[in-house]
Amino acid sequence: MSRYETKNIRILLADDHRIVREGLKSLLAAGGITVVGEAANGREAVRMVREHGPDVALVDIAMPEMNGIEATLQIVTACPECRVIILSMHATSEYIHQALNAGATGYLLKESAGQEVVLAIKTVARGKRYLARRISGTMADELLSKGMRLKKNGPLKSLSPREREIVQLVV
Amino acid sequence: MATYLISMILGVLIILLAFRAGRSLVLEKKAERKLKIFSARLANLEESAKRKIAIELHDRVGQKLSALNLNLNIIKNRFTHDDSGEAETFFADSFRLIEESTEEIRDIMSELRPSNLDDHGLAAAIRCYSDKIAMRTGLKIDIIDDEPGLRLTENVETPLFRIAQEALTNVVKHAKAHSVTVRIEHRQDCTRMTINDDGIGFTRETSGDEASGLGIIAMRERITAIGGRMELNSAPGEGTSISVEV
Repeated sequence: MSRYETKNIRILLADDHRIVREGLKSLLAAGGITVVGEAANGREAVRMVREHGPDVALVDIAMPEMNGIEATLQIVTACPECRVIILSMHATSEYIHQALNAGATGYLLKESAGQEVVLAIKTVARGKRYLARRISGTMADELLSKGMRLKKNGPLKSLSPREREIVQLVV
Repeated sequence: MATYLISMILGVLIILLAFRAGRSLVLEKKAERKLKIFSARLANLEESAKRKIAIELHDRVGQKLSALNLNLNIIKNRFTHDDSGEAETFFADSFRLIEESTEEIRDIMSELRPSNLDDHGLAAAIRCYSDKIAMRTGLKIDIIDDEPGLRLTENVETPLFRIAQEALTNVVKHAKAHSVTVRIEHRQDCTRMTINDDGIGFTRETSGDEASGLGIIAMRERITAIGGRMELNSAPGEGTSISVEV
C-alpha cells in the first residue's frame, strides 16, 4: 500500500496561462485532488515546491523566466519525493526524452489533459510513470525501431535502461 | 601625321570604352552584392515573421483550446446522466474536434517555424519534418548526424534546415525516389550537410520546372549569404546529391 492511496494528493500547478490553471484547478477539485499552490513561471514553481512540499507538480514545458524542463531538474533535486508531470503541446520524442531525462515521471499533452490528468496524477503519485495515451504508441515504435537499427541481437538490449523502462511501460 | 592622329583618337576611345566597361563591371558587382544583402535580409525578416506567428498561435489559440478542453471536461463531469447517450456523443465529438484543431495548429506551427529547431537543433528538426513526409509518402528517409546533440549557431542552423526542407520537398515532388539520406558532418572548421536520393535524377534540359529551378537558386543564396557553398550533382537515372558546406 503506498502512502498516497490513503491520503489526499497535494498538487502544485505551474503554467503561465491563467485560464489553463483555472481549468485544471476546477477539474482537480472535482477529482478530490487539492491544489496547494499556483505558479506562473518555473522559478516560482521551484520556490513553491520548496515551500509547500507537494506530492506532485504539474509543470508546463514552456514558461517565461525558467522553462518547465529546467524547473523539473531543480524540483527533483530540491525535493526528490515530489513527482513531476510535464504539460506540453509538443508530441515529438525529443521533448518527451528531454522531460524524462530531466526527472519528470509523467508527460501529458495539453489538448487531452482534461481526460487524463486525474489518472496521470494518481499514477505518478503511486510511483509509476504516465505518458499521454496519444504518444505512448509512437514512443514504443520509435524506441523499438531504434533498437532494431542499432543492434541485431535483440532490440531491447541496445536501449538505455530508461528507454527499456519506457518500452515496458507503453507496449 | 594623319595616321598618328587617328591612332591617338582610337587609343583614347579604347581607353574610354575600357574605363566605362570596367566601371559598369564594378557597378554590376556592387549591385549584385547589394542584392545579396537584401535577399539575406529578406530571408531573415521572413524567418522572424514566421517565428512570431508560430509563437502567437501557440500562446493564444493553443492555450485557449487547452482551457476549452479542461472546461468541457468539467461540464461533462457535472452533467447528469443522460439516458439517450446523446450528450456522450456530443462530448466525444467536441473532444475530438479540440484534438484535431490542436494537431492542425501544431502542423501549421511546425511549417512556420519548427520549435524543435530552436529547442533541439538541426537534426531533430529535419527528423521531425522527415517523419511527416515519410508518413505521407512512404519515402524512406535516414538522418545521420555524426555528432548528435551538437548545436550550431542559429544563423547556420536556420538556413541549413530550410535547405534540407527545400531539398526534401523537391525529392517528393520530382525524384520518384525510394530513399533519401541526409547526412550532417561536423568538421573542425566547417559543417557539411548532404542530401542524397536514389531517384530518377535530372539534367538542366530535363528539369523544365521553373519553380524547382528557383528553389535551387534560393538554396544557393541561403548558403552563400552565410559564407558557405553548395554543390549539386545529378544525372538521369543516378539520383541527386546536394551538398552544402559552411
